[in-house]
Amino acid sequence: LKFLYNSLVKFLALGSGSGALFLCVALSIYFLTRDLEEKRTIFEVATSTILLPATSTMSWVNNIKLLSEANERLLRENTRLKLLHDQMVQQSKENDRLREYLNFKKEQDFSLRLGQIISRDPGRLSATFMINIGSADSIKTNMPVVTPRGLVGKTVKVFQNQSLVQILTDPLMKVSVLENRTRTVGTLESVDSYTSFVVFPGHAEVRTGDTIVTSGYGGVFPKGIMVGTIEETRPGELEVLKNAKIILTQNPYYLEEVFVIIREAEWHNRGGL
Amino acid sequence: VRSLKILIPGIILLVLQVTVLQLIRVYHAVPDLLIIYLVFVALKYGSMHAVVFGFIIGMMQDVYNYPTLGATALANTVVGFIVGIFQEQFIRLDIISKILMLALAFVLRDVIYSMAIQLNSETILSVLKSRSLPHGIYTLIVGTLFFYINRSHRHKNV
Repeated sequence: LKFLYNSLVKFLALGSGSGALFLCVALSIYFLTRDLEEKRTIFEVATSTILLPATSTMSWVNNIKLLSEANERLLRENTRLKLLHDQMVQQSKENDRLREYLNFKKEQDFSLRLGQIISRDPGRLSATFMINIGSADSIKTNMPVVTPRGLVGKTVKVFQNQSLVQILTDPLMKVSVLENRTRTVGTLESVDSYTSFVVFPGHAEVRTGDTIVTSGYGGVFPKGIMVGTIEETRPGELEVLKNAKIILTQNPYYLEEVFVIIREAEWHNRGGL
Repeated sequence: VRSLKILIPGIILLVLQVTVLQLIRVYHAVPDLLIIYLVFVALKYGSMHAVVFGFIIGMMQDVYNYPTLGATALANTVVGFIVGIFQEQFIRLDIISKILMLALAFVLRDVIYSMAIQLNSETILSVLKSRSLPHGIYTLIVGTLFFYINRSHRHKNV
């Protein structure tokens, strides 16, 4: 073997590599002139034996590349589908809400205008929001703002295509209300923009679970619009008063659309109070 | 030992050529690391080593495209022999000459390959224009970097 190896090296080194050139060219021509079937056999033998490590490595790297491409494609597809799904969920919710609003509008005697909330007061004591209807839609100041669940507030400033709505939890807002069972009149107030309470006379026999509706006094809100239910009652700071903590039937912070009742304040028609 | 020292990096480059290098494709062109390495081997170790290395690597490349088995081996063998004549042991080559040598080797290899698979002269010209030119330019850019880094490394060692 050693003799054969030495002879081969000597032959290859002949004439500065001429021997190697002769041998390699001869082998190349030999392989080139084989028919396709023989070449295929050589290919199969080579890839399953001496070239197996290289083939496996190539296949492994190619698989990684394919996986990486597939992963990127799937991520893109996943993001697109997620966005589509979120959009559909939003549309479905909006659809349900609008269907509820449509039924409400049919049931009312008042003329109603549907407005979308386009901005909110960003302050901590958020007490107003803006809707996308204004004087061009017959909106005026002091018109009640409601949803099918109950009272939300009233318009306080009207522009041509937008209106500012003051909500019930605004500490500056006071609404005359009526307890439905005992017919006791009280005043709805809020001090912190979150909790609402009704101040009743000290003798009022109101209790937890009683419902509160608008009294119609004051001329802005029609009588009988749902406001909330009593969560708890406690004596007021003055003995002659009783406070009832209210859960509003329509939380004014979870809203996207509202109705404005096209109804001017009663005192407005009479030239003010 | 020297043969293995030449062959092992060649096999690694062959694997890189058919895998990782496909990721840095520019307009379908990829640099041909094997021709760069063949020119390097020929200039450093001479014709005999370049011929044997070119043949083995060429056969490996051909195996994956078996209908033309032997064509790349033949082309690499001839290119290795011709470039090996300018072995650096006897002739000092500057970087420009090495790049010119690489360009010559690239064209020669493609011409011999095309002739070996019996393309007619018109097709050979078309292949040279559409395939060899973009691949060749990319290979020359990478080759220039390789020879420059190799020279700096050698200077540092000296």
